[in-house]
Amino acid sequence: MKRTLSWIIAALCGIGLAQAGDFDKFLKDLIKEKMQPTAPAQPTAPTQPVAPSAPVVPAAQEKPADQLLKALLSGNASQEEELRIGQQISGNLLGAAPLVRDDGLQRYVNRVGRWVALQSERPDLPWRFGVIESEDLNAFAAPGGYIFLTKGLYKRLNNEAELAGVLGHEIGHVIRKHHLKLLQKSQAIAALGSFFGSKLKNENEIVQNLIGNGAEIVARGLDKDAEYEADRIGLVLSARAGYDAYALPAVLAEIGHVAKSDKRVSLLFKTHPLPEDRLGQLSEAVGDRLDGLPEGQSGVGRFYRLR
Amino acid sequence: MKNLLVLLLLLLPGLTLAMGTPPQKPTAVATPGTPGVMLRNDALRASPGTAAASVASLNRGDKVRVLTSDGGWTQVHASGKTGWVRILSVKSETATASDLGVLVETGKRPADAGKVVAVAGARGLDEVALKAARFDAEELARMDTYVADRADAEQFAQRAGLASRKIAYLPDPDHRATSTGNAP
Repeated sequence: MKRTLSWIIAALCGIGLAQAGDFDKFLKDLIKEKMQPTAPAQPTAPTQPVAPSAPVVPAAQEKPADQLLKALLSGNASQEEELRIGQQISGNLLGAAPLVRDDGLQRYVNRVGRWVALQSERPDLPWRFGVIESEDLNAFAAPGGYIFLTKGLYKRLNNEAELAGVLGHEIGHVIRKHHLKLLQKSQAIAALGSFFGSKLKNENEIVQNLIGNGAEIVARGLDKDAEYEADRIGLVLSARAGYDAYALPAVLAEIGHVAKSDKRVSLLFKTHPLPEDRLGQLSEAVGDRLDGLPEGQSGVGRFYRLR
Repeated sequence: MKNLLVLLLLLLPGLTLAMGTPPQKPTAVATPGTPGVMLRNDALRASPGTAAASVASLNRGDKVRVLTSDGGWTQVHASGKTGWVRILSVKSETATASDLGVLVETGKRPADAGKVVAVAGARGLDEVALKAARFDAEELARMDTYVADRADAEQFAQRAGLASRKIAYLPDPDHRATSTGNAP
């Protein structure tokens, strides 16, 4: 009895998996098929879509949005398209938590962040950094070079090197396009919705449709490997920038000391592996590779302290 | 007979007490800090910093007691000696520590909750808040005003004596397909 049950479960799982894969392919093919006609000129009348109220030339109106969709789907979003998505996510996030009203702080964080980003392979993205009004401990990145950290996390930092490590982790997400890849995976359904559901009129709607509601995408979480990769990149970028390479691990250890039941870390721990696991992964990745490296700066002296 | 029973009853608690107390004393004394294990061979240094003298050498797998930390350095006690190792060289066995943290936290909760309410406008950035967030064009534009360009950032670094260093990206220890792997 028990045995048959487990067989059924196993079989069901198998079917589920197979279907998920096929469904994904089905969606992609379908969208490809649907989008193909927009690329070449449409001299033949029958393909004309159900025209919305506005008497505009449909091809001219829909082109940017279609291109954006197509670029995302193929994983070849241009820097502009990347930025467009980042803007939408960031504007929404700022709607939930505005910038801390402290010009000195915001300028300081932008200088440290840009210096760290200059050590990456995408030094010339329009990098923007901001400390947002929240007592939570968290940091976020959005495509195109938008990076945020909460006031709660900032207040836990002891020096500039730790700030560089945290920003470096987020820079890692941007340069490896982790969020774009997440969107690519989940957007087939959103894209379908835009074709068969209510016709979306403009680019803003398309982008918002892609990223879901508000800034929920930053709460969705990436996979563990993306987080571990961002840790490795954050450590290396801050070390390249001349800072203490072990500052990011120190921040992780500090976060690890916060009780797991503390509400201020609940989203962070929900979307990231636990600090002890991240430290273990970093330890393994570093090994003896940094043993000869001269000690970097901690930058305690000029660290901008929040009152 | 009755007297004997009373005597026994009187003696029993004393007996269990006597049996219970001795082992407690030594364990309390012999455990400074929290348990940890060495993840790699590393020198135990007299103070945090690579320039500090080496007091002993520890091996991967060595059991240590973790005492405190200072930036990227962790103070440990091992085989009668106390010193400092790199933060990534030692792993804290946090199971007991985090359990304790939960206990402490639940005790603190009322005070904490009060604090959150007291801070005007500061609310948790949870999924509900993020989902409900509305686009704020003004804040996005404000963010642009703080941008540091390349020259600005380079000058800022120079003033602090920060210079670029050549350091390779770290490989994925689990050999998963990522950035740094040089595929066949």
